[in-house]
Amino acid sequence: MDVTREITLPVDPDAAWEAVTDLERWLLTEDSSALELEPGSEAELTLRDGETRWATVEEVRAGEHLSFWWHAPGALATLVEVTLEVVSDGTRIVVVESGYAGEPVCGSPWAGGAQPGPRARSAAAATASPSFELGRAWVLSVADWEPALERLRRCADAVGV
Amino acid sequence: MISDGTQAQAVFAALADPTRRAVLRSVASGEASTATELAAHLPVSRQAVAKHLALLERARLVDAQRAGREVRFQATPGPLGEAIEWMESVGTQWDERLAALARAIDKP
Repeated sequence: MDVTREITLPVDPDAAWEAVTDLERWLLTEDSSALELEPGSEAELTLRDGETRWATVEEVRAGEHLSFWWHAPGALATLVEVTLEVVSDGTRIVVVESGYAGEPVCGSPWAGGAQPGPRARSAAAATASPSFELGRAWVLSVADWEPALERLRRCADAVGV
Repeated sequence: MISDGTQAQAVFAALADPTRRAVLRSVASGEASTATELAAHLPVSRQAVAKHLALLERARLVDAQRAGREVRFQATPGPLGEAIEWMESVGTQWDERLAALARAIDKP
């Protein structure tokens, strides 16, 4: 399963990228640790909504794409991908958060039994090395999810759960 | 539960595997309710089915009841609704973050 959200900003991609990568301006509190935008860099972040996440940068393509793995204490790791697209009225920012299927594997103090390593990512993705593709295949697509859910609902109704 | 998403993530992790989804479907449809019956329906060993059932039980998607020497499983769909609710709350959080980004653009 993944969550996708987007917004179109009335600015060119350079200005949009500058704003997106200045995480303290929209995602983090002012006193949060900074996340250096280099692949593999890690930090414990404090989000504006009060949550704490351990994050590891996955990929940075200036002006186009930023992705990082993150996880809350005791929770599974997810991949956040922020992509910029030029549109007629400005720049569209698309955020996809996915990968609700793997234990965190990283240097995070909350990674539980996972071996400390240089990069936080989900175990599902890590076992799919060298590519993340297999890891992504673990993520349920909506197409898989809906029929399964519908069957369960029908079954639940039938047995009066 | 909904705020930290641990339970919802257990549900997604449990459903991420196609064999586990097949096990859950068989239990939910009433086709099979024991590990032995499930192994007869599906192209996996009884031992593998037992592991999948244990994971589904941990995610609270099935409920196990001991009847003599047998353990019978029943689908319990409640956590699915909670998981969907949590996914929606994750989406709402991103809406709020992106709105903050738009405000940051307005006021450089």
